Amino acid sequence: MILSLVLSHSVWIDMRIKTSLFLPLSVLAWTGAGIFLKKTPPTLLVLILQVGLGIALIYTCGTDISAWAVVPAVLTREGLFLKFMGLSSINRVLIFLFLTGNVTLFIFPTPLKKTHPLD
Amino acid sequence: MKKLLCIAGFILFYAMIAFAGPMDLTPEHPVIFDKDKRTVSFLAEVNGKYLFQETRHFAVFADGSNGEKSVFRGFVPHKDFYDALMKINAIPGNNMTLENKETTRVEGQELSVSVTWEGAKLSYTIDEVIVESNKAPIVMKFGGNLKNAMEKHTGCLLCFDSCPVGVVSNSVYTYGAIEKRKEVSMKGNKDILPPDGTRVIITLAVK
Repeated sequence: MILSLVLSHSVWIDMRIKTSLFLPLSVLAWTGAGIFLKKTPPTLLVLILQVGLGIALIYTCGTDISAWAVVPAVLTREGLFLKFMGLSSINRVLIFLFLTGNVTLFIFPTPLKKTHPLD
Repeated sequence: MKKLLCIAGFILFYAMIAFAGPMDLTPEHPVIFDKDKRTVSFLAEVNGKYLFQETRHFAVFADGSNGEKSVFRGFVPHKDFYDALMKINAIPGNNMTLENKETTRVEGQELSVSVTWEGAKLSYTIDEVIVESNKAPIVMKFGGNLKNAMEKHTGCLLCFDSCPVGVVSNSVYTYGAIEKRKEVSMKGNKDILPPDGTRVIITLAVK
């Protein structure tokens, strides 16, 4: 998402490549890495990426909340081929995944880590 | 009796087509023209991304390679759009090439462009629905470019700077003014246009 947002902010790049395709690529890469390494991502890395996402949103959308509600959702819909979904539904799913991920990783991390005795 | 019903059915069908207005456009029948008024109207939908980010495309056919890069995703293929303009006797410029694009302004029939949608207070001009950083009026001309349009299959219908591929483009700027030389930036006017996904009717009229 950070890459998609930052690249799509350049008109020259945005008009030439589908910047939203970085989304499915990174989802595949992260899932693949998780399965291959049998680890949950380090919390520090997740924190850094979340701060990066916040900076990318401010860089591309400024402080306009209506832009925050549209641009990431449009990129997600295009990148993940979800043309049948409205932007508000995509936003709800994104917020749900964001909150669930954070709760799982930061508040209740034990059950996930127990499955990996080598950690 | 059956024959009578068939004839009545045909009459009704053609009467519906004859009296169809722009508001009757559907994704299956996305374009309509009026030879007497010399107008072409087509169905499109708002792409919310470009109410907040810059682009060089006003409207692009949704299935073209640039289908997600414009303020409006058009339902009409570029060939049908070109044909409709030819049917109202608009004159294509055909003066743009891939070689001269950065030094040449598009020529051809000048067209006024307006946008409306269900619930809109009125039909808005292109200058009202687009935020043009230099505040210069947009002058759309029928460039033609059918050969390039068919070869490249970008789906470009209306571009914001003179274009060797787009069927109609803005003659105020030469190609590269937006992406390369940054002479101007354009995006949809979020204070006027409806939200992402709203269907709109875009009408071009010969000036």
